[in-house]
Amino acid sequence: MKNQAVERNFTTTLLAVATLSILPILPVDGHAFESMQMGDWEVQFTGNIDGFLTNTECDAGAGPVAGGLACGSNGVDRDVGNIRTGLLPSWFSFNAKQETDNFSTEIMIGFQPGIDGGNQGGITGSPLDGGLGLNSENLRQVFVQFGSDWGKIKIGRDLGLFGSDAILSDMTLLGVGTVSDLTAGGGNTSLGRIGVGYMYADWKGQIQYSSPNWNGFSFNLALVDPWGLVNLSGLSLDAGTFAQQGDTYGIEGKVGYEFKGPEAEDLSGKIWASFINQSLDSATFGSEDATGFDIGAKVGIAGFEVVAYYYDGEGIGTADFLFDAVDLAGNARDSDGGYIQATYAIPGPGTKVGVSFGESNLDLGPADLASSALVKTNESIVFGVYHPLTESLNLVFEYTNTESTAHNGNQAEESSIAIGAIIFY
Amino acid sequence: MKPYGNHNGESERDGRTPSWWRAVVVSSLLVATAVLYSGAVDARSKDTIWEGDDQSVALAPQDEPDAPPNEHPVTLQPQEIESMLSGLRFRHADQEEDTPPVAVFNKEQVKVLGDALAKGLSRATPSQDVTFSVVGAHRLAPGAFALRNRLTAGRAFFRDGQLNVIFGDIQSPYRKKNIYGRLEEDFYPRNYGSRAPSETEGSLLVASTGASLRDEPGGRREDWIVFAASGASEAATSAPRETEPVKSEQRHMPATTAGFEPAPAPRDSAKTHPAAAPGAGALPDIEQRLETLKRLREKDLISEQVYREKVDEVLKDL
Repeated sequence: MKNQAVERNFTTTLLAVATLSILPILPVDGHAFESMQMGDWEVQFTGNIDGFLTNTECDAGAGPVAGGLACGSNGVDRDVGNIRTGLLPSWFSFNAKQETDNFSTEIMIGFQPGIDGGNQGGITGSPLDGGLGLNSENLRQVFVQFGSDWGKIKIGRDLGLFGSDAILSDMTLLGVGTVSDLTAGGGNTSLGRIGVGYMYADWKGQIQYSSPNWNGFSFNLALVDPWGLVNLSGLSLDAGTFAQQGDTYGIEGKVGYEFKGPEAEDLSGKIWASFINQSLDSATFGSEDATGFDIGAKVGIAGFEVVAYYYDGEGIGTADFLFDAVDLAGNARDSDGGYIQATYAIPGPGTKVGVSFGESNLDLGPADLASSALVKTNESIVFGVYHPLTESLNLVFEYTNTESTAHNGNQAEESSIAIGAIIFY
Repeated sequence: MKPYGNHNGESERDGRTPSWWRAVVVSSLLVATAVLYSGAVDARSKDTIWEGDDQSVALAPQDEPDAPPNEHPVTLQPQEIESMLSGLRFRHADQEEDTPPVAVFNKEQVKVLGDALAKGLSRATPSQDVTFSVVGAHRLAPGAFALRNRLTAGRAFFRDGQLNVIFGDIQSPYRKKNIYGRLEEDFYPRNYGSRAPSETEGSLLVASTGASLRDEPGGRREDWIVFAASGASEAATSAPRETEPVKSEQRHMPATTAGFEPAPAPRDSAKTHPAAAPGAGALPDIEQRLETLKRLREKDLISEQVYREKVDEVLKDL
């Protein structure tokens, strides 16, 4: 039965590839939305819409990988087909900016709908949607930002600082990347390289200061809404069982240097480092600190671009901040990871081809057994082709292989093919 | 206190054996740091005068190695450059000649460039031009509700007592993409123009008062405008004008140029042009004479050399 399903999915994929391959490959003119002047305010509507056909083969191996991100980590062999959203949810942002007397004020409100049926407000969907399975959506971004020569202050909900440049540099941002058991059913997003190379920066309530740009140098510092522990693996404490106190704040910071030449082919690049810290106070288990740092670099010249990234942390968990961060005795677990990525944009058609490899590791805590099924490593390799059909519209093809390995040796493997399109407007 | 736990409370890193890709990541980071450092040194050597959001004014080598040396450094007043630039008009190549031309720069761009170009020209060497790349919102049509962001780029230099501006882009496409909630430039290569004749890509400058398109043996350059010395000389007074309107404008300068004071006139090396504002009524006469000379040159009734000599004679009367 499984072989038949695989064959059927493969045939579907081939049909999709064939359909897209007959589309014209030469760039044509694309037209972007323009802005509007409303009194003193310049108003813009921006965002993207994307959709992908995915075929995901989930191999469970000998047993489950608790907290593993390769589809099949739950111990169930299956093949999943979807017409779904990629790593980028579709996006609709309203942005308005006012500049008077060297003082700028800006507001941004964005909501993110998925195209597949899912849990309302969540990121996950159901593999087989029933009738009235409405699509999922959420509101990730809402903030006001104001400032002048001295920098800018942002108040609201926006992308966190720690790990932000890692995801923004990830080529799968235009595609799908890892699907996982979590999002195999579709919904609002896939994982890309989240948890298989970097921690998700996520969207957080925050008060952030951004420095001016001094010839490419800048820094940011943010006070962040306190977050609670999440038990993704079933082998960790969560905010409730940890009896986590909420009377603290997170703090995140980032420093970076960026430059680019006047021409697209010129040498350009960016180096950044960031950190995150939040105290974990428990009435039952005492106190732990969740602290992480990362460093990354991106260099491009003549169409080539290389990204290298590394992070390390204690008590920050894996995949997302505070996911499986403490063992059942309330001890912080260590984690690290990183990824490397190389892309090349072919002159002329501008088609970008890329390959990336990355992994995220989670160590055992002092109270964990050596035979624990807790995930030890999530790793993936991604091959991607991103073709700009117009200035705004990109066709995407990706192959992603993800493996999850538990501390007890259990393994799961996910092979996923994604083909689709993304448009920025 | 931990109620249970097997030893010292430290997480075990036994599973963290070094792997080949970590070595690659660290090596890549080191290489990237070195490359970016060298790039940063190179970028700094370009001597940036002003930087804005995807915009810049910088000193750069002349685009042709054998180009005649510029008369740099030179002191021009920001207000005079503003006056020159604000009168610049263009129309698209596919438009009829009776189509009203539109302004090349908006008001904010004129203010920024007035300051930054004056500062750049006062610091440039004879082998350097001042390149600029500015982005601004322009109405889709006069009085229109909708705006569009457009990119204008070129180079400026002072020679033969004239301010030369060559355009590579005039209101070319420019926009930002929303990528994961970040509005980032959808990069368009900058074209800073060239002394060598090049294709004008859809936009043609229109000569304005006190300025003319450059005539070359191969024909008129639609991308190269020359501002007569009258503008420069009027502006080249060594003492900044302290008038209320100027102060008012400076208060509204964007952050990166606010507070910029025009460079004092160089005492020895800089070429300065004595203040000799034309008297009332002199300018129209000079314009007429210049236009006559231009017509004669266009009809090939006088040579390029004679044309330039005569133009110089006329301009000396200013």
